[in-house]
Amino acid sequence: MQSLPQRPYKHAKNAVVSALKKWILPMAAAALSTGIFIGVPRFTAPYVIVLMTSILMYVVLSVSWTVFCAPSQYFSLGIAAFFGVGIYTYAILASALPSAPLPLLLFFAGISSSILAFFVGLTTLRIKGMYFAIFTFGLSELLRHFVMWWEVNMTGTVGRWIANLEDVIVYRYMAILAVVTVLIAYLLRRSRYGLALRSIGDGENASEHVGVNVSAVKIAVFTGSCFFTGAAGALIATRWTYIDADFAFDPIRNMFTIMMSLFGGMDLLVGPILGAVSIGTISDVVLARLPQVSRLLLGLLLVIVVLFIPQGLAGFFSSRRWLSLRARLKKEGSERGFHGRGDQG
Amino acid sequence: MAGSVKILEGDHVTRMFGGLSAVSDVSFSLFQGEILGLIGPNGAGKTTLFNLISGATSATKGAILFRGNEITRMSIARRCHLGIARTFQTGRLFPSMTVNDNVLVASLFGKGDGKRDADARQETLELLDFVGLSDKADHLAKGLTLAAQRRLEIARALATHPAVLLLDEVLAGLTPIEVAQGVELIGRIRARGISILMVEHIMKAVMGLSDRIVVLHHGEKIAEGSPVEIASSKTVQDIYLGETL
Amino acid sequence: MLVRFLDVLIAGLVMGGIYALAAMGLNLQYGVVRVLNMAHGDFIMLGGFAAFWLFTLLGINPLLALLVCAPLMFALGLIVHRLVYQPLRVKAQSISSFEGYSILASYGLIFILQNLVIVSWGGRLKAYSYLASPVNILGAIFAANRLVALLLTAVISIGFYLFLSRTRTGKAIRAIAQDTEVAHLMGINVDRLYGLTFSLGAVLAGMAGVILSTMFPVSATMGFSYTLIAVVVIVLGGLGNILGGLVGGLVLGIVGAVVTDLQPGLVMVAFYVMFLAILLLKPTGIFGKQGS
Repeated sequence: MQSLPQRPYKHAKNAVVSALKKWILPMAAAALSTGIFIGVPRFTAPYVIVLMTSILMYVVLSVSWTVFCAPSQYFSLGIAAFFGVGIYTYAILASALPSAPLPLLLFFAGISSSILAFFVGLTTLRIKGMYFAIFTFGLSELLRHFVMWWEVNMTGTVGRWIANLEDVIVYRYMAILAVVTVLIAYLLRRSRYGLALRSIGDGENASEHVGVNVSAVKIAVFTGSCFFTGAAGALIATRWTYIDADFAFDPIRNMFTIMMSLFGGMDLLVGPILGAVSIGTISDVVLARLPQVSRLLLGLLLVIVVLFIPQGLAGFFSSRRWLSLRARLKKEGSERGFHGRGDQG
Repeated sequence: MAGSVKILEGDHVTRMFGGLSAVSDVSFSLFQGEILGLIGPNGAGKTTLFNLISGATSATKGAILFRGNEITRMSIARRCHLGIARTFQTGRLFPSMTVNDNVLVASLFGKGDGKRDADARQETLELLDFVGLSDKADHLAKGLTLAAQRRLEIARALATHPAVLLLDEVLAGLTPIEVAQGVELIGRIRARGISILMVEHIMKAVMGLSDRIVVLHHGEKIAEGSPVEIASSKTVQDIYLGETL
Repeated sequence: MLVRFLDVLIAGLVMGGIYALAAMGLNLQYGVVRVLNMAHGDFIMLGGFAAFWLFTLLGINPLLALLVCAPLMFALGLIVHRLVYQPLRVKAQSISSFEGYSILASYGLIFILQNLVIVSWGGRLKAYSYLASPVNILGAIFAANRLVALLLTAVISIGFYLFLSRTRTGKAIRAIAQDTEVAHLMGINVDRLYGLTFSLGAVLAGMAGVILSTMFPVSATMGFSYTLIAVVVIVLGGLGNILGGLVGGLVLGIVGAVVTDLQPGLVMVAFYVMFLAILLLKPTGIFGKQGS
């Protein structure tokens, strides 16, 4: 007699709670952070805004790389290709349609990267193994050479002019893009496709045997992730008035993205963000001043990270070894305190 | 009690690797509801036959039929959706995922019908209970004991709602008690109406569980019959060289 | 017309020989050690620089430089394998995980090697002249070093192929590539051979670099393209397939020469088109095994 009116209430409550945890809370958090980011310029100096724009761009790069590559273990070595495609698409569209609104242009830039990603995926992700990594390895250089060849031989003009946008505007849009990218990554990780992708990385053959359409999942996630890469490229390009193939397809971005993702930690969402913030902050400055030495050190750091802390900073600080070490240090510290400062025993 | 419907069939199946035939002109039938034992010395082609059935390898010649329909060229995932599931001799769990997630992903994708999250979660809990792993649901798969790993593989395969389950040496390396528990579990799986094809070296288990047995040697089928017939067959005894059946 | 044809053919064979040699080294490494060393091209670059310095500073001609570079590259290969790839192999959870992480590590290696060279010797082209005097064949004119290069690559590749097929060590190496488990069981010291094989791959790369330096200038950044070409060659020929790599190298060399003759800026595009074609038609390569 009592249970009957209670059950529908409990069902409704469960549904609300799960919807809350799954969708509403993350989106609310996203909206809140966006608001905070957008409000920041009122309180800070202009150069901070420029720096933050770069960092936010690195966040987009590393998160969009990690969201596919980390769980699937298919490492893309050519994110710069998709970044550059976004830049060039934006430059071409912006000059063809000067009055088009920025969000629309960014959208199409992202789409163009996704289209390239789709074809790359169709070619290389339907086969297991190193083919994806190998193909993406040379992709950004291929595009750089090809675009240059095209510009020299076909159009006659090298590079393109872009209408410059205000720093604050670029910053705000980049903040929105970064928040959206992180939100999508978060939602994907917790969805069934995130689970499927992890199973692919853990055992692709076994994953197929439990009914996962591995090719479709890989291609879909990879294609989607490159949208954000392309949009970020398009957006950052608006800080300059002139872009060319060397800038658009600069291979250092490949190295950088991998470095940030690995250093921060590939297995947790906060990892690439951590990597982007830590390495992105020093990047523009150090890379400009000491190009060769910093590249050398970056390469060294990458090898060291792969060898000794492949789980990255975030992975390390959430690992059992660190937590038990921390517990032990705390215990020793408190014991020492208990015995009093004068006691040396 | 086995029915008379052939749920799985191999029709003159051959798989060659270069010049060697791992499986040569093997024909077999698995009837609905029965347990078919597959035995033979190492390298006889048993795992290759499993690979041919599940789709992990493609047949050089011959056909595989499921419920009378040819599936020889179908993808692995598609065969899984139709109702063929397997375990692996080398134990291919998803090591960095939890026990729960290992089964959950199979429950979500195993039938290819877009199952709801809540239903999949419920089913996962039930299956973990069925195999006795409920208390380990949040453990990572890579930390499990051997017996627990085997049970997880079975739970994961069952989550795909198979009509046919291929068990590849699930009892190997287990203690006698664990073997007995495994035999009991297989019996319960059969009671659910699932037809089983099992490769096993532990003769007591195979003889006890199987309705019929097929013997492979050097990729060929050399004998087929009831456990009693196989146990007393001179041909089979010869190839096992005195091992007590 | 004949002259142009010969020009392209010889150029194609010369470059093809270099590519084949480079690919052979990479095939060894991938087929046996399961490492796709993306810094392979940088080993080639180092070989080229070694030859340059030996010639410019010590007057040692490239033929002797080959003999000097071989042990140097072997040592470098041993060091890199011991410091980077062996620890990774021990830690890796699975073969595919090992392959993935070793590609990432090798990517870092590229930046280390390239920038070490730039910091030490600058980023500009370095060249020396060796046997540059012209030779006339049926009206087509080549520098003598081209023909020497062709001869050298042929001798080294054939020699190495014979090593792999006739000697005990060579057969042991091939056994590991075929089936590591069985190789263990046969008493082959697999771990030691991993290091040896990797280093042999580095030696082949270094030699390719030395030979290259007799004809073209070397620069710190040249490695990338050669890695890429070597990679396309081994995919074309079938990953791990030595013979496939030799054939693939020659094919790519000739294609490259033809494209250079018609439209020089599109060589890389042409290679990528071939890459694409192979991936779409037969990913396991021309000589690769069909299916899983």
